Amino acid sequence: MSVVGRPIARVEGRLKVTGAARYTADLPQDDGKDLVHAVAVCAAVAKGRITSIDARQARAAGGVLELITHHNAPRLRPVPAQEVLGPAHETLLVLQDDRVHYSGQPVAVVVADTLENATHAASLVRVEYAEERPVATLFEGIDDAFDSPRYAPPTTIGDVDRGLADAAVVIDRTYTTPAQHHHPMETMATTVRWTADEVTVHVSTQTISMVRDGLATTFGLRPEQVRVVSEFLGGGFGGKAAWCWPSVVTAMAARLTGRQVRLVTTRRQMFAATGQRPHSVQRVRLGARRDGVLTAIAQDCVGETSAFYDTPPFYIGAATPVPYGCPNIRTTQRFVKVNCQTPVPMRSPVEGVGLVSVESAMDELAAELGVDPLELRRRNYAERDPNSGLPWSSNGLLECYERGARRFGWPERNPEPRSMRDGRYLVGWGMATAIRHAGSDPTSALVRLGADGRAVVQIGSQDLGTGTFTIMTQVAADALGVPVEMMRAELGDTDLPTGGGSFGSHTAASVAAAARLAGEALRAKVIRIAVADEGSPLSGASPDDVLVDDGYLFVRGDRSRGERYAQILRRNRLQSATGDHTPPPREGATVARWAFGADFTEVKVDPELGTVRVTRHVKAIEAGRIINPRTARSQVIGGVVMGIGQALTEATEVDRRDARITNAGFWGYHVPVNADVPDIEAIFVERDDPHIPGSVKGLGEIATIGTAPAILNAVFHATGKRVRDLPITPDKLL
Amino acid sequence: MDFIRATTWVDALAAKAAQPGAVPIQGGTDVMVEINFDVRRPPALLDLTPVAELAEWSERDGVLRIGAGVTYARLIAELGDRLPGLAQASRTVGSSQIRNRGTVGGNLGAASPAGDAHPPLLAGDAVIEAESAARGVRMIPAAEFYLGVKRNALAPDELIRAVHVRPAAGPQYFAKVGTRNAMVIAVCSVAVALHPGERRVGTGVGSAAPTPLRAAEAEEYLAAELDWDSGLPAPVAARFGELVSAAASPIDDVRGTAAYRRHALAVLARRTLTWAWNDYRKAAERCA
Ligand SMILES: Cc1cc2nc3c(=O)[nH]c(=O)nc-3n(C[C@H](O)[C@H](O)[C@H](O)COP(=O)(O)OP(=O)(O)OC[C@H]3O[C@@H](n4cnc5c(N)ncnc54)[C@H](O)[C@@H]3O)c2cc1C
Repeated sequence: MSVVGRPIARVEGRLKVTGAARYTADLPQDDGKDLVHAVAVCAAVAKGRITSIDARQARAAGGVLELITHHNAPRLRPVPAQEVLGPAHETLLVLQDDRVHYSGQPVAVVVADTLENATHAASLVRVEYAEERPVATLFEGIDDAFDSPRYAPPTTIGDVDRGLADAAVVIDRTYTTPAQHHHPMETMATTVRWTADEVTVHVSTQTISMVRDGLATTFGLRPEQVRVVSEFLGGGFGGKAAWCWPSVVTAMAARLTGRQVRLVTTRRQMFAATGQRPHSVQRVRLGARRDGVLTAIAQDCVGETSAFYDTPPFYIGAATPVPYGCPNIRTTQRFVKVNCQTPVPMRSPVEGVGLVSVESAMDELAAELGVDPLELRRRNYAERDPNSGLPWSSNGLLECYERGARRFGWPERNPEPRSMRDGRYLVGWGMATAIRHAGSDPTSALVRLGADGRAVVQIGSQDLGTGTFTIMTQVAADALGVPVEMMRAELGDTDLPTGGGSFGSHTAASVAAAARLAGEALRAKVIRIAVADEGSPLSGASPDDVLVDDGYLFVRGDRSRGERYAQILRRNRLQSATGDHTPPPREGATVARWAFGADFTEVKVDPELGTVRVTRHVKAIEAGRIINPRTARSQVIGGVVMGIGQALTEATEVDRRDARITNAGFWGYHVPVNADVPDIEAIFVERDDPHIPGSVKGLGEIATIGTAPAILNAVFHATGKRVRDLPITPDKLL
Repeated sequence: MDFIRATTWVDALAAKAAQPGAVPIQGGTDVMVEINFDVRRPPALLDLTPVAELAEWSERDGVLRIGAGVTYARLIAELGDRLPGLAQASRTVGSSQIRNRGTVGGNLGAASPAGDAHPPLLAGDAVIEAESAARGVRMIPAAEFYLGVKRNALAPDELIRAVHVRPAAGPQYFAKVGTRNAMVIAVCSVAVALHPGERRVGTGVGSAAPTPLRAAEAEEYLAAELDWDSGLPAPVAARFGELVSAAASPIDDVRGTAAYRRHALAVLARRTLTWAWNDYRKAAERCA
């Protein structure tokens, strides 16, 4: 019986809940006496030059082995942007010169025998700066905003100006979204051992292959000399997708000391160890006919990027042309250099930020026209992808609208703002559309089968905590034809066949495709061996006539003529096979592959205090076929919780005078807590997609896209007040 | 850093006298945060958790004496019926882990303007029992205890022994606004306590000035205006809210603006008074 599509429990769940799972900061366990600890000293100013570093006291402190500054750090080779895999990477080669570009940039690293000694010595390092005036926020530098025809070319479809001129109604609004940080539970941990010609790196990363290639390039090694391991991850949300300085400075420390060195960033350092979701300003113009049919969509975004990085990180409006069938669309983006870390993706850098404004503007348009917001979206359903002009590979959006709305009770909504009440609270219902590009990465898998009938599937990708181990086990077990208990998954080691990054909602699709190919290849291989093996009851059968069920191979039509994998393997030693998934090229595509969703939410607002509570949330998603409804549901819950934070509580605040982050800790950066999270319901609208292997579109990002704008729209419906500046804190509603 | 473990109250006082720079630690939910963030590095920690009598409470002559080491969790469970205002405030503190460790004594020791215990202690006329080896016991009314941002009236050699407070003589309420629904420091908070015998309403305001404070004018206004034998006129409740708000001197910070705080204080004050008054009238009507 097939196990794909069944809600089996996480295969590594027991290890995690019993504490037996070893996360990177727990590793290595075996070799404690050689291990020493590194602590980074981070810049206290956001812009300037280091004029002196007084390290005498620190060097003299107990247990100190090494102190690295730009004076004695190993020289690093620059990494050409195009050489590095992944969506973002650290181009600032840390500890190479005296320049400071953002507050929190590492300026020294102390290595000592214990973490306590290293922490203490780090506090003794005295750094003097020649401070310069930083650009603290996007607004400050907005006059110098620049565009990037190469990385963020404008999109133009039809004639927007005419579309706006022809419109009966035009909505022209500007929205701002704040910088945010990812804040996985697990901070960044790295342990590096550097021997004569080999480097072994344990690191919490979403892309072991990118860390390997990045370190190899910067330190002048061949990739084969670098082994990167990341078995269990405590989340990342994109923050660990970038190749960032903690692993670079730990490698430096290991090389200089000849010891195995561990560096674990503090929560405070997580505000600069990797970049942020960039602060943005988004102007949206929608033109529509009286009946709500769109005649124009224009979106002009400005986003922050770092002062030291010339390749703008990403294009917020890239997906704006996709959700609605509109003949005239234009999106542009400009960038402002700010003295902050380089922005990196955060759980959908494009749709998760750029559609907040579009989905709010759609709600404003609905209110203006007096059309139901859901009906407005239905009327603008895109029969093909407006951006590429291609037909959809599959599209369940209308069914998401319908099932989500029914489950939520949307038809009961009184369209009038401030019309629904629950005692002292104003009640608001809002909705939004979600879309996310469905892609995958080149990925190889190896499946091995032993004489005990047990199998292993290996991929050099990693499990972010989302359930990759589990779905990979399910797919490989089905492909080989063994019970799921007989299959074990291995991930997170560059010695395994090469996999991609755990980002971009690509992991499930990539890993499932490769695991399936490898499992099927091994099944075919063993069948060929069996039919050629005179000792087998299958001897002489045609390979096409051999079926496999629960680890038992038999001839079609005669179940008694067969034997188990274990029996074949005992005579024919260990067998393995590989599978290589190659994603369809984006160039020359004949279909547009996207996942779809619809969010419906209820908020209750205290009209006198402006406090908002999300009290109900329904999210319908079409992401092709769901491999495991249990892990999928938990992805959706996490995504909605993150959307609640985006809408109501989360923002990284910067002091305008000195460009330093003023709420760098969980005491000041508020993620939602249990009491902020209502019942969340996930509905999966399933579709077979002939253009996507296994019909797996990926869930990681569609899970959160749509949630924040739905909440914004619900708050408007509750209060009649439109907040266009995220997050909606109570003072903005008074 | 030295770690001093006092096993008896006498030892604790002696240790504090011998080393006034030693920082007492009870639940540690403030002390350890400050040490971890390197806000301060005290020469010594004085661990009070082994001192058994600090974790006890008793009642004598109609006054509760609550040891400085009684946790929020126990306060809610064991004294919630007699000190409803303090119990309500305690329920909003942090998470269950924090409530299992954190104490009112620690809240007083830290004397943060945002500490949630302070408004109900002020509204309920609590008195803090401080003690030193050299000078013995000193009774400090809550209203005189808070001197500045995170500064209290303790002398360097003094420790907090207990809080004295009368069981509620009438309805009490506490309300706070936070930027999320739990695990949050108050943007502002208000406590009211009705003292029907004295025809008086006690107040406490948190997170809206350098120290927690009583809204004296608001209290005087109610003492003059309230008719304890009838309903609460809406204009009186509203005026009370304005006066509570006027007593504060809030600032803009990452948690909220001064203007928002002023507004919210008025709302919270009006609401808590209305709830308390409604309870009081209901009880009075039942008795009649
Ligand atoms: C995650 C988290 C959430 C929190 N949420 C809240 C909240 O919602 N509301 C709130 O008000 N607070 C909150 N706090 C702060 C803290 O929990 C409270 O202030 C608590 O009351 C402190 O009690 P404690 O016993 O842990 O004090 P400790 O940390 O042990 O001590 C606090 C201070 O009091 C001093 N002290 C302790 N005992 C004595 C004594 N007997 N005599 C003299 N001085 C003494 C200490 O030296 C120190 O200065 C939170 C803290 C954390 C970590």
